Amino acid sequence: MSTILRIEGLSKNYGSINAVQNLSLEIKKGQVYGILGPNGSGKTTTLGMILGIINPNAGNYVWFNEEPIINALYNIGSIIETPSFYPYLSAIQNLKIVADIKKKEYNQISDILDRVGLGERKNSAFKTYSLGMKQRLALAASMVGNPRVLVLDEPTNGMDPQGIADIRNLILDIANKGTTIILASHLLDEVQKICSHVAVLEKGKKIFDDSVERILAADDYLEVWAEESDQLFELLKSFKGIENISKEHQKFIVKLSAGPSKKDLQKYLIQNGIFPSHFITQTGSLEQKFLELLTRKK
Amino acid sequence: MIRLLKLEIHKNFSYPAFWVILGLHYFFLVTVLFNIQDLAGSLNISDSDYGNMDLSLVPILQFPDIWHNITYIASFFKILLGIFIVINITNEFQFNTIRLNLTNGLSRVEFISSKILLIIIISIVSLAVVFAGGLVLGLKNHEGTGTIQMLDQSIYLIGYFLEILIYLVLALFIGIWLKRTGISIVALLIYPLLIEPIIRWQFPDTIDRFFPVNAMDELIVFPFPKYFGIEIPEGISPLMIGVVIAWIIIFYLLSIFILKKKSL
Repeated sequence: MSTILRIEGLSKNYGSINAVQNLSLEIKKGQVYGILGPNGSGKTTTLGMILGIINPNAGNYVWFNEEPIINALYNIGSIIETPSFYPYLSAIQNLKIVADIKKKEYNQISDILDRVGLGERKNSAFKTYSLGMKQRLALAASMVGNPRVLVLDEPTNGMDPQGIADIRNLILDIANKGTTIILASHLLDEVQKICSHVAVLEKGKKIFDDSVERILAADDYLEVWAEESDQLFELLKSFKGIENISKEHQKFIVKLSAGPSKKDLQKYLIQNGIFPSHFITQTGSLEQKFLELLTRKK
Repeated sequence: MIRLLKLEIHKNFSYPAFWVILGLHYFFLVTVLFNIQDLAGSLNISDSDYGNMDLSLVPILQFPDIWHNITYIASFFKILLGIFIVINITNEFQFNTIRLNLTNGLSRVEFISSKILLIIIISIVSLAVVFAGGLVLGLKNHEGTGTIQMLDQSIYLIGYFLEILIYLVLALFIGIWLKRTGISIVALLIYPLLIEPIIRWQFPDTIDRFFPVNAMDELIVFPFPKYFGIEIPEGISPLMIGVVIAWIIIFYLLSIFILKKKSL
């Protein structure tokens, strides 16, 4: 897979505050890459630097592996912080400006506005829009010219639940067509639903990065229940390869260590005469992992 | 270049302030030019250097003097154009639309250059209005039957064009530097009247001529004393044309430099 963005040792400080410290990342084609972090962890500053509006103090970044592209930014759609448009211009007029800058045609503008659900209000001035509509227009602007990468900073900020679901589906739809997406958010649920990879920032430092699948798999656990509760407990304790057992509402919460599979455990229980009537794998959540990461540091 | 021009057209043509401020400017300009003889008569210009001058009998609108006289008068209205440029620039910061421009791939040099193009267009339109006004007024007030030397002294039109240009580029520079609308307008108004004169005061005469506002003012000098037998420099000093063009380039480069330094 080709590299879309490589960041090496990127740093930015505002006076004595280190907004981003020595950040290195590599984002591959087709990934939906989440950048997570509490407020003030340097997400927006990082995106500002890779989009060329914030000058880094140190380090560098390379888009598209230095393929000879006239201007990388023509191939990147972005939303950064609050949606900013010319307030007296309509959605269409604002998107024409984006198309002018990116050297793209105007003919897809109406379609894009329909896709983000602004079709009916496309001729109203931006200043008459609600926050959710402004956010939709920002997403529309990022789609002008079918960019190869979308950089989205809190794209569902200020939207109602329906809007959040719409935007999430739209982003997934775009991702499924092979567009690489870089998404900064503090909504862990959102990132979990959309992203294939995440990096976690804290106080400007990257403290973790991995694929979402691996994070969630690592946090898998089993819920087991059988009528013969005491017997089950004894058996579970005797099974080699269990990291941790706890009890929650009659059910045993079992965390397996790396070696044995769930199937092994099931076989073991049955061989010993216990047929569990409840044997369910629960995946962990990004939220658990995230809170674990942040508390572990303290 | 077409792209940068198109960009400014899209930004401004649906902006009410664009039409209101520019419309007011040309309305005042044309109104005053077409009533200039009456207005001149009602003015009793009193100048410490020249004494009292009664302009009511002075043939202000005769070719070829008309070009000097009307470009001098017209240049006073440039303040409205300057205010418009300041609003146009500082809006980009106030609305944060400069981010929209840069994150979509417009370079900082292109951004400043698109504003320079807007400035050049406004300067050309202003020049055209003054030129057309001058022709109409000059022909209307032509006396006698001799050949008309219509375009003698039309060098003043070039002076007028450069004066508008340097003033608007100064407005651009102030807007980029200060970013906020109110304070930038105040700076644009008091810099020529107060700040530069104070700075110039610290320098010897040989140097202070080269300051931007001074050079701008020296392009088209006060024309009326010549009607009262006082000698004034004829035409426009090529040196001052050079100085003004140099300042236009300096303000352009400084604007780019400041914008490059800024995190937005």
